[in-house]
Amino acid sequence: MPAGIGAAGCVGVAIESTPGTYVAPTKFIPIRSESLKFMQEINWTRPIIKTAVEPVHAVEGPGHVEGDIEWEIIEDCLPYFLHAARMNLVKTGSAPNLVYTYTPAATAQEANETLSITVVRNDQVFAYVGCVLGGMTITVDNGLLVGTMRIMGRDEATQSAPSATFPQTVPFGADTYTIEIPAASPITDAGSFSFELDDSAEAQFRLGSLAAQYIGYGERNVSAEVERDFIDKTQYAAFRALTAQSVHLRAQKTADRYIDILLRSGVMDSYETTLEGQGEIITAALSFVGKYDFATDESYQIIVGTSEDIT
Amino acid sequence: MGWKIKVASTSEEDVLVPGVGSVTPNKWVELTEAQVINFERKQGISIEKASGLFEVKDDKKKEDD
Repeated sequence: MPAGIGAAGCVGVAIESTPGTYVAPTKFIPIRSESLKFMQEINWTRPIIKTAVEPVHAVEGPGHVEGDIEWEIIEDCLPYFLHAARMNLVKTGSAPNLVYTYTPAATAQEANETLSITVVRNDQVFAYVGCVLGGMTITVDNGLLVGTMRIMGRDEATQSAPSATFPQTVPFGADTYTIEIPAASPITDAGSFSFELDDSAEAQFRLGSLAAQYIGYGERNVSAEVERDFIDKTQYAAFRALTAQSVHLRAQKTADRYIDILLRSGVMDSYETTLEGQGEIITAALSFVGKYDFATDESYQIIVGTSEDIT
Repeated sequence: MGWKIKVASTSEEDVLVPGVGSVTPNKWVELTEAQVINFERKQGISIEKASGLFEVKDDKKKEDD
């Protein structure tokens, strides 16, 4: 069998009905790259046996799955990842215009179901089970909405080759964005936007299996970064006063196809604006750290409008 | 040869099937012989074994569809 190239590979996901039990993919994700791997801890023993000064035995320690999936975000695929995150889901609307509203949950494990993620590399099938979203970064890169999903899972096995079909949904481009700081006040001077979520996911091992028993979550960190033209010191005053502001990005292609990211209560932990050079436009780099908003009982909200029907 | 495929999809938009091209989901679509060969090459499996999102049927015994 000859060597293969990335272009002939594919990544597919499916929602598991029993966590950790494989389900063949029902949705294939067009990705830029992925780095999913099974991480095996090894206990190297160095017993004193008169002649050995090197490791003598390799003994299995716990194993789990970890890796990133980098992709141009499309609204029919994003709900699958958010489904396996620590987020509560409310699904409204009716086919073909469904609305998925995700809000943070305060649970130890995923709020809905785990995913089976199937990766085909050179026609060989790697099936990762019990996968959840440990965190993600969503950025606007040259006008393109790009995401990095940080996945953690339980185990990997070989499964039969799936038949791949791909959505032809066009990703979000430069003409689709609205940014508001605070929410409901649009701004037109933002050059870049980035939203980062980290739920401190860690594989939990229990005696009885080599693979992780489940993925547990810890403290959440959510933040947003925006770079704006520096006009006046209004926002700087908010930074100095630790004033909380909401930060809202809406990427919208049509009335019913959109992704909406809202950081409810962000406090800037850094505000950088400097004179870089004679010809450099003066910009302000704002870094918002998300905190709990008592008015809405949450730190963020993500809404996806799509035709994809996930049950 | 008479092979047809039906791609299941929860969304109404066209789906890309590697080897076949753009396909309307949830409907039976006739494949030409060239598409069958391409499909098998790109997907890495023979058409009878196509599984997952596809249903496959062989109509070669029928006169018309």
